[in-house]
Amino acid sequence: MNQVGSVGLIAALAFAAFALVAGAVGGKLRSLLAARSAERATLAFFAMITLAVVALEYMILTDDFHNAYVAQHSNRDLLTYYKVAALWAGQEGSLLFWAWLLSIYSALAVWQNRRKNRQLMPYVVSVLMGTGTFFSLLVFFVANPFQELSLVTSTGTQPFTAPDGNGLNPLLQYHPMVIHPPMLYLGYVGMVVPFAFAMAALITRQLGDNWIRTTRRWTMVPWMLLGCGILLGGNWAYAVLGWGGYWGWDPVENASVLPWLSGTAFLHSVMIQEKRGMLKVWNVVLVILTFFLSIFGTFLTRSGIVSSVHAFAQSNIGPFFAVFLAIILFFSLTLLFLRLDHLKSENKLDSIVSRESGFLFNNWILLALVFAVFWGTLFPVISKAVQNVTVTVGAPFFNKVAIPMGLLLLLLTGAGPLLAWRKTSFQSLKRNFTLPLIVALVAGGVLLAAGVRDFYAWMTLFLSVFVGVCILGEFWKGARTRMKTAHENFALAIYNLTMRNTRRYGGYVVHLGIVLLFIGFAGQAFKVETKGLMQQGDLLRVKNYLLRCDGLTTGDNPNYEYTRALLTVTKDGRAFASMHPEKRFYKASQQPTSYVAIHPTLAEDLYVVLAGMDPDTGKAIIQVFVNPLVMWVWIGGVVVLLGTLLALVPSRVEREMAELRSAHELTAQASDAF
Amino acid sequence: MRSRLTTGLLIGALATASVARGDSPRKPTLESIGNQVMCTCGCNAPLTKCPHIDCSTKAEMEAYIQKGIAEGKGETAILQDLTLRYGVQVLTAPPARGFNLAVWILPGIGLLLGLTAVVVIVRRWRRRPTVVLPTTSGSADPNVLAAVEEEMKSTGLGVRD
Amino acid sequence: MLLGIAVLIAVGMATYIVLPLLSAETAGGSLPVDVTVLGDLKRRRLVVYDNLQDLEFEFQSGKIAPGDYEALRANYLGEATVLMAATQEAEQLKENDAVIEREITARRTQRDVQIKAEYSCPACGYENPLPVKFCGECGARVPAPRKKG
Repeated sequence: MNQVGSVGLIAALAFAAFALVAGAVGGKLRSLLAARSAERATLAFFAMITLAVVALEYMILTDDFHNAYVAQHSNRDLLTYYKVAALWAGQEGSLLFWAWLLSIYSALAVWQNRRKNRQLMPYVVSVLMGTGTFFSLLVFFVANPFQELSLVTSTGTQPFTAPDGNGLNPLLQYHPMVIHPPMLYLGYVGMVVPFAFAMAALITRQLGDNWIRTTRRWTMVPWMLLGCGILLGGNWAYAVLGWGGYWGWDPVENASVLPWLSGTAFLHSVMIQEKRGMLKVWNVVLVILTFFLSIFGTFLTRSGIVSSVHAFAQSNIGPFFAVFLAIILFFSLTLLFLRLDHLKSENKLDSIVSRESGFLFNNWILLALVFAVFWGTLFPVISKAVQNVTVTVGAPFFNKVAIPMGLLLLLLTGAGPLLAWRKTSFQSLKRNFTLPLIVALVAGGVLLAAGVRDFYAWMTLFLSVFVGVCILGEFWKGARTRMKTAHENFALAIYNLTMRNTRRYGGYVVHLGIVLLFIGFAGQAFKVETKGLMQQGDLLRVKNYLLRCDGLTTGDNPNYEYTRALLTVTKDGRAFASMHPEKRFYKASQQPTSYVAIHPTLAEDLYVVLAGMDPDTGKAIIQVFVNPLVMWVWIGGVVVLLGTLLALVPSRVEREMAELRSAHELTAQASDAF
Repeated sequence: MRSRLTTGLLIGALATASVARGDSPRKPTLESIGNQVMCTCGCNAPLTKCPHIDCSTKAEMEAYIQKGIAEGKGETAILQDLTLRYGVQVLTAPPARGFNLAVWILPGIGLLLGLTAVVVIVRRWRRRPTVVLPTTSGSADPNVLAAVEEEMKSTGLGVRD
Repeated sequence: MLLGIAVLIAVGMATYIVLPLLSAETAGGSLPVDVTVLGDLKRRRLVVYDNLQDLEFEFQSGKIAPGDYEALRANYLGEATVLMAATQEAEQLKENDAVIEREITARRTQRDVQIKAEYSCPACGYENPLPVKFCGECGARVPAPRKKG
């Protein structure tokens, strides 16, 4: 099986390199046949990487411990779906996984464009497969998962089959962990497609409307998946790490949020280009930046140049990534510079109070945030190089910098949609802001009366109410007009309104989701925490909850041993829940972890950790958190996801354009790409 | 103009608030200090967030902090002790002194530079000459206008919903 | 066994890729154009209509002052008419091209007819394909065509 995998990798490498060249040549000579060949090579790349992935998964699932990777990251008693996840649990496997996702995206892009963007596609293929070449080189020569396990003895090295594997990192044995990395990777990897289209458009000088629309859609999908990945990661941290939070400003977390932020900036400023033909250079810069940050994130995660709570560290792939990043920057920026003349703005700004300038401010804050997070994440490396002192840049720094900027963004989330394109009347602004402001002030007063004293939490909730009312007001205004003109009832009016302009209202739904996220964030300020030693009969009070320990049990299964606390919880004297936090000891990896018991409600989560056993008394150390509003973070994430899906539904103008393309432009010359 | 003023005021309010929040002399707790120092066990997490169960390093550090609190030391004093003991990287954020000042200042500079860039861009956009277009009332050919209206009707775009 | 299959798949894929390059049609044709002038104009008009639609919406929801609304609407319509005029001009040109094309074909046919008529043999009626002095079929003298003025 190792050999099968290697064959897959070699062939994939060869095909990717071939497509890289054939695509460029085909594009340059405008040769249909060379282009076709390059596109076929992309599909073949997908097939061969898939072969390699299948080979590795087969070995993992059949407990083939003569493979070094399998022996390192799996074991016999691991549940099957965790075994599947072992594919991306280690350096080698996850790089292969990266290449596989790239191959899927590339094949999809080739397939989707088999009858359109024919002039762009050879170059698109070339850029995609350039990246493919890099990753298959890396997987084959530097981090190859298809290596035999060997034993060094006095007579030399001998092949060796381990009786059982070291097992999957116990921290990764949690359900969302099976989908968190794929989501995150799908987000990272997907950013290569917009980048490829941008480069192809620059090379061919076809910098009109086509590429920007294609790119926008191809950015939304990975952006959405990246967002899901980030939140699932937060959910994992929350449910597994046992410190009662979901975000710790760890370098790897920062790395994932950077391309998301710059992608957000792009998804906003792209509208200015689509509608008004402005900001063309800036949009290319954002596409390049987003791709750069995606690769940079992958680099940061694996190279071990910064220390992080995440597993991958110490590896020799850093320099390869550094070279690749340098190539990306050099190539794309040179190309951009050469094409500056083709990227002139078509219009002027009519008024400062307009949607356009709203987007500019949004881009300003988002990019400043990207810079601040990037800078803080890299500062330890810079400090080490400059003053030879290791420093840590952690949560206090990022909170101080990011929270004010986040609040400004939140404000724009509500204010932006109230601005009209080109020129907005002051009268209307005053009118449209009055109600949200009044409601928000009332809510703010209520919060103060209720004892909210934390400034940031108060500000966040105040702004959330303001923004929420602004956006709901937009829906209400639209619905009212429809109810009047089309004589529809409210529900139908909302439905029709939304479906007639999916982009606008999908965007508003995303904004509502963001508001919910911020409400969830604000809850962090009201966290209550307590700790106590418990055994049968002991009581522990936190806020209005009373925990009673009904005993401690121990147990054993093939994968781990556990100690479990049986807790009965009452709230205000009424029965509330029974909770069973565990402390586990995983046999294969010989590591202890905790299994957190969480009782989530919309208002607050009760979060109980069995943090260990007190050596003196033999009692369990029980840590209890009351985490307000956490649920709204997850709900907000789902709302953002739904809004993005809504915005992906083609709008009328997009349908017209698609029709135009198929009816007028390609009928005479329709030719199959393969 | 007014919106600019509002934005300005808001930024100002946020800025002053963040400064005002800074250092209030309060009694240190294990949690308040634990959030400001890293656990040195190799987990790369703040002391309060070390994911390891029964982490002996954490226990040792916590005992050290507890001792400091019991002795009635202030937050700064305890943090100073910890820095002497474990090195400056034990702090979750470097002190704003010397070269480390850069980490605190640059985000602000970035923010200001960005703002400058936005202002410059906006002014350049504003100065661009208006493209003179034939308007409906003026020179436009009625046939062309009719064709435009026909097209708008057939696509269902550009008309009131 | 499995290794053999893997290699076979790889070779198959390689063949699949190289096949177009070995294709009989050596020139192979060039990549189709995806943006035509007319298509581009139409697309830009669609954008303007979309903007107009948003303008209407924003006016209805009271975000734009009536004066600004009128001015912006006129501006958008102006943009659309400019684009439409360009389209009509391009179509006119295309039509003109078609007219010229037809004329050329007509004249060519006419000339062929003339040739045919002028070099046909007066004796046997054979239509000589080339200008000749003697009929290629029967050898009779073919009179020189009259010079046209």
